[in-house]
Amino acid sequence: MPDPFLVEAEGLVKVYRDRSHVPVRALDGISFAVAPGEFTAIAGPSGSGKTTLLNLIGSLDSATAGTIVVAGQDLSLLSRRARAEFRLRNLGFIFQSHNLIPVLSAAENAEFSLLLQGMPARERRRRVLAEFKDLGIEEELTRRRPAKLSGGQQQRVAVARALVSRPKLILADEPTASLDSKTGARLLDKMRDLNMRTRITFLFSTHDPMVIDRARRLVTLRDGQIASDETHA
Amino acid sequence: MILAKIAWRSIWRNPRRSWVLISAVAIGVFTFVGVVAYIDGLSVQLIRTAIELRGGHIQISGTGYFENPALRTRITGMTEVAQILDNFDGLRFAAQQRASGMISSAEQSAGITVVGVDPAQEEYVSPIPTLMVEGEWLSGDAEAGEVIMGTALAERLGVLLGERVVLMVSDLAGDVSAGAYRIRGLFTSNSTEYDKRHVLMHESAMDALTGFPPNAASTFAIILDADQDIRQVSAALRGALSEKNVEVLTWLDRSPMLVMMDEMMNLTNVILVVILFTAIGFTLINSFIMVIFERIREIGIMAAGGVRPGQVRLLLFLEASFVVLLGAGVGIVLSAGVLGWWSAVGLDLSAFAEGLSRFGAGTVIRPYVNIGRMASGFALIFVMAFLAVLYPAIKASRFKIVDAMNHA
Repeated sequence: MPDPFLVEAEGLVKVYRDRSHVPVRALDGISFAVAPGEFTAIAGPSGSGKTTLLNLIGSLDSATAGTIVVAGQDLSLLSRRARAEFRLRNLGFIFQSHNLIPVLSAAENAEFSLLLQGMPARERRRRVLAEFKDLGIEEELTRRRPAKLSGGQQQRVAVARALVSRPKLILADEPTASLDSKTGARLLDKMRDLNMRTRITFLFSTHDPMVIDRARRLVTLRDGQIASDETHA
Repeated sequence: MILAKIAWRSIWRNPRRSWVLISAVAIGVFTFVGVVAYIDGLSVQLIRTAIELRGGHIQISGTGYFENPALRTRITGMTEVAQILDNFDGLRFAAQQRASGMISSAEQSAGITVVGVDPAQEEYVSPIPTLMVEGEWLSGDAEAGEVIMGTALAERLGVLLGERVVLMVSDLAGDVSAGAYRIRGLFTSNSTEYDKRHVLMHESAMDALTGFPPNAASTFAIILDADQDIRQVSAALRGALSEKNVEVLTWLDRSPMLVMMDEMMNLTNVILVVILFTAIGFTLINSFIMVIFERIREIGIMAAGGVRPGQVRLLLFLEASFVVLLGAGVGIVLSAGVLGWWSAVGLDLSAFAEGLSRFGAGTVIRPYVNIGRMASGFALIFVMAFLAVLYPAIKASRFKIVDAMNHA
C-alpha cells in the first residue's frame, strides 16, 4: 500500500548555537505530515522555525533529534552525496531571493537540474520552453543572464527551474518576499494552478498574506512548536 | 558539460584577476621552457662534444685499454672487427691508433695524445675535419709527414701553420721514437682541453712512429644513427665480438662524470620546476580561496539544487584547469616564438668562453627541446594546479548548505 504521506516528521528538534554560542531551540519536537498534492503554507512570526523546518524537510540541514521521512526516505540515513541525489530527483526549491546562477542564461538555469539528471538535450529544451511559456517568460528572455532580468522575471525563472524536473515536492521559502504584490500574486496563482493540474506538492514558508490566503492548509508555528494546523476548503 | 560551462564562464567574471593568474602561469611556463631548453641545450652540447671527440657513442678497444690506455693494449685483427661492424646497420665507424707522448716546438713542449687516423674514414665519425680554422684536414698521403692540431696547442707551443714540430712517443718495443712533422692544419673545437692535448696524423705515419703492427688499432670509434638504441647496439656488438679480445664501452660507461653532470642538470631542472610551479601553486591557492569566498552563496544554491560535493570539487578543478590551459597556451606560444629565434641565432656566451670550453661546450648555446621533459613539466603544472585547488575545493564541497545560502 503506498505511503499516504509525502512528508512525515516526528518529534523534530533542531538546536543551533547563535553567534554568542548560546544554544537556540529553533524547533521543539514538531510532528506533522504532508500528503501528496497539498498546497500548504507554514506561517509564523520571525524566529518561529519556519525556514528551519523547510530546510530539514529539504535535507539542507540535519535535525538534532527526531525523524523526518520524505518520499519514503528517512533523511537521517543519507550521506551528503545521497542527499544531493535525493534533492535532485525529488525536490524543487524556490528561495526568497532568486538565487539563479549568474553565469548561466535563464534557459540554462532552468534546465540545470535536468542536465544534472542527464536528460537528453531535446527533451530538456522542450520542457524548459513549455515551462517558460506556462509561466509567461518570453522567448527573448531565455538567453539573458539573471543580471539582465527583472526581479519578477528572475523569480519566474527560479520557479521554472524548480518545476521543470517535475519533483514530488516544491519547497518555497518566502517566494514573494522580493516581489511587488502584483507580480507576487500572479506567480502564486500560477503555482496554485500548477498544483491543481500536476498534483505537485507545494510547501511554503511565509508570512505573506497572499500566500496564506491561497494555501489550502495553514500550519502556524510559534517558538518552534506547531501553534495551529488548519485546513481550508 | 554544464559544470565545464559554469567553470569557463566563471573565469571571466573577474577578468583582471583571471588575467593575472593566466599571466602567472604563462610566465611560469615560459621560464620553465626557456630554462629547461637552455640547460638541455648545454647538456646536449657537452654530450655531443664528448661523443664526437672522445671515441663516439660506442668505443671498441683491447680489453683493459680503458683502465690503462697503453700502446700494447690493442685490437689485433682490425680488419675482422671492421668486417663484423660492417654487418651492422645504422652505424659509422673508424679505427684509431693512440699513443701518449710529447710535442715540442723550438720554444715549448707539451704532453699530448697522438691519434693515428685514416683521414677518409675519420670524416664519418669526427667533426674535426669540419672544424679546421687554418690549413686543411689530413691528406691521404701517408708519406707527407704532416699533423694537425688544435689552435690552443699551437698557441701554447708558439707555432704557426706550416711550421715543424717534433713528436716523441714510447714505441711498442718501449723505446723512445721521435719524428719531425709539418703542421698541415689547425682546428678549434668546443673543447679547449681536447684542442690542447691532441695531435692527429695519418695512421700509416703513426704506425711508422710507434711501431704499431699492421691490421691493429687502439680503438674503434662508432657513431650511431639517431634512431639507434645505444644499449641495444652495444649489447649486440658485445655478442658479435665475444670471441675477440676486446671491450665494448658506451660513452655512458666511459664518461661517468658527464653522466653525473647530466643527472645533476636534470636534478637542477626538477628543483627549478618544483620551485617555479610551487610559486604558481600558491598564487592559485590564494586566488581560489578568494573565488570560493565570493561564491559561497552560489555554491550553496547549487548544492541545494542537487549538485553533489564531488561535482563542486570538479567545478573548481575545471576552473583551475582552464586557467592553467590558457596560461600554458600563452606560455607555449611565447616560448615557441623565443625558442625559434634563439635556435636561429643561438645564445652567445662568449664572455664565458674559456670556462665553457673547458667543459666541452661552445660559446653559442642553442636550446634543445626535450619533448618528454617538457611534457612531464606540463603534467606537473596540472598536478600543481590540482594540489593548489584541492584545499579550496574540499572546503567548498563541505560547506553547510544552509550557512552557505545565508552567506551575504
